Amino acid sequence: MGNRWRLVSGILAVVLVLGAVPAWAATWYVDGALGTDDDTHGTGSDAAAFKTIQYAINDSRVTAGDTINVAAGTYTEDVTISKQVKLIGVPDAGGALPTLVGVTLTKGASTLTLQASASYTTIENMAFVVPDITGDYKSINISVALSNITIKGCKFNASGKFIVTGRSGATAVQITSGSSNITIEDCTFESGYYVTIQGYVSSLTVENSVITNCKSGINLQGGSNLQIENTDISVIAQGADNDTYCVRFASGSGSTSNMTITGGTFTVDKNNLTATYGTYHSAIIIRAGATGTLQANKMNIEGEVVNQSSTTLDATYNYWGDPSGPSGGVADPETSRVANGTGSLVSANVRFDPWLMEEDGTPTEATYTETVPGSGTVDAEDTPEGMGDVTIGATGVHTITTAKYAENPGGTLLHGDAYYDVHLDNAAGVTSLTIAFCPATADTVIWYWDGTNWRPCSDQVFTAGSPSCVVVTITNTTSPNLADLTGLYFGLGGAGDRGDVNNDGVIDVRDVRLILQAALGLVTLTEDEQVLADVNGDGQVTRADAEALARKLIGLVD
Amino acid sequence: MNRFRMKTVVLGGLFALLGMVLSGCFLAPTPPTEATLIFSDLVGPVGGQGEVKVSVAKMPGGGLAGLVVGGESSPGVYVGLKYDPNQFRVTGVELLNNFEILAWGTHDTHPDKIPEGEVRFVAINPVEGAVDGDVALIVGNRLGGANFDFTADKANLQLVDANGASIAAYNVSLGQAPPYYVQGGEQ
Repeated sequence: MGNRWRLVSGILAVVLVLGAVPAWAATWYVDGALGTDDDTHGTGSDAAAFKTIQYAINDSRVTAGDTINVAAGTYTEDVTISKQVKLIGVPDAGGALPTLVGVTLTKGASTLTLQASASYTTIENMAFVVPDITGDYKSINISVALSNITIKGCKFNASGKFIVTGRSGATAVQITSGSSNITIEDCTFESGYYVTIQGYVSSLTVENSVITNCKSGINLQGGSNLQIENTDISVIAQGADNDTYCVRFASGSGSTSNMTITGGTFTVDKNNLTATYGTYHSAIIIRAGATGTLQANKMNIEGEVVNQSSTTLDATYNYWGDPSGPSGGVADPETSRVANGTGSLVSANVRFDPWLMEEDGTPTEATYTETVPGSGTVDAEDTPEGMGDVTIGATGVHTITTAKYAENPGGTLLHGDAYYDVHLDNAAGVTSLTIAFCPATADTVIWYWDGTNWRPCSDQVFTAGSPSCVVVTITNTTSPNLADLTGLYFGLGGAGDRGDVNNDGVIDVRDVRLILQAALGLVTLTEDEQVLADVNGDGQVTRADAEALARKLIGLVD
Repeated sequence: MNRFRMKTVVLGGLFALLGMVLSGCFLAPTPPTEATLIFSDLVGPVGGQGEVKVSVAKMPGGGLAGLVVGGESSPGVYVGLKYDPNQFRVTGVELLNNFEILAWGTHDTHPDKIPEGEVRFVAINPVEGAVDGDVALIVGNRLGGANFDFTADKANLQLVDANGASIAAYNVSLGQAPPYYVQGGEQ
């Protein structure tokens, strides 16, 4: 009897526990086409569902923590959420999300309003379309201070409104002061938001989202901890006296702290407008009240970066729209290198050095840009460590950018030691460019990435001295040639390159015999093989190269 | 069996035994049946020139076209053909047939690179391979008459055939410095 009692009570306990789950996390259904709004519906999909979202939210059976599944279709209604729910759109077979279109068009109206008690609400897989508004409008309005709001997988469309009247238009997500932990992820915003995401918030995260064709992107006016990751923002100016920005951080006064932007592409279309004094059409605007850590890295920035605060913005490791780096003539606050490239403009108090040589490019360790009128030399001190002088023979003014990569930008390079970039703005009027790589040894081979393979530069000569260098000459007839220098990686090969004629990663008797055969004219080496066969680096393949490699093979020389 | 027949049988047996011993010393060794790199016995009188012939037999791929004696056994440590420096001192490596000696060295030529009692060299035939035949001649001074073994680790040898492929499957036959060469001078 005792055992039976324990068994029965155990089963009861399990049933009670399982039965309790729906009581605090029920799932409800809305179907605008098939549902009905009364207290006998909402418990299932299709005809068992509610008809409108607002009825579902208001239904007393729907309590905090519940999920409301919304079937695909268009819902023309204003929605107010005043309890913690998960509003989840269910896409149709074609992937179309349920679309919410507000009905109130007057100034200040919203499609979806989050009110008190709506903290911890999630809005997922819903589409918002701005109706024919007459003034300021919000697609989602967090109207009171709330926390832990997640907006995920949603699509926002401002119907091309941009500016409705004066300085008013639509905002996709408006956040009221005092709110915290707002997360927006995997969302798209398009077609004319005046400001896309805006407000005062502690911890606003926007990630893996896209803002396209809007007047402005994200505007954190106050609070702290703006974090933007892998989000592309493209904006288009709408007025000479109306700010346009991808991100604007802080206000003119007060203190708004900590901004981190990582990855993504910011693009500003000035729309043939010239901003008036005090107006900015910029990728990033840091306003005077910004404090704490300000970072924007690993981005593609095609627009101005303006820092009005006294806190330095770390904008290193970005691509500025041109390999020569940012423009503006200001000095990097740490390296003192001057922004004399032709890329996007930076203001003072912005760290930009080093920058990336291309969009989503390989990280760099150092970058230099020098302008050379006619023929001249960029001294070794103005090139990255591991490079020597770069000398150009040319007419006209040319910009030469040199960089050292932090990692291999191409495919695998056997024995690769270091990687560089030498970028010429254009090859017009240029007859030759010589690049010294120093210090180097007789073993050193300079390679270039042809887009598919690392290949040894055709004209390279080892020059013993202090320091010893390998000097690569580039003309219109070399490999690479001058035209290639508008985007080219160089690799510095280590010991083991020179002599490895068959490029199999091993120097052995086969290589020695090949070199001797080539020296005797018994075999013809390819252009690449000839470079590797030139063991003594004198620019020729002779018996001396075979002998030199033979001595090396048996350890007679270091 | 009478005593004469007994003597005849015993003497016959002794001659047969002597014949077997002598044939072991003086008859040519059985030719290799597999690819073999051969370092001959050291030939030459004490106080005179000694020679070790390097040859090959049954080499594949059109024959041996390149030979490296000496390799990096561990980082920075190279080892070639080793011998007793008290009995023999190499003074050169000479080409045979169409092989060219691109590099060679001993302690005398490279005291900071090669220890005593070791020779390294690279022999290349740029034109053709040798299936059977001579490759190089190691020459030097025979300092003493004591026997010793030449030693070489296969890991420190490299062979390439006439087609440019490595030869990996081969045997190494290493000679000695037997005293009977000393007694009879060059054979």
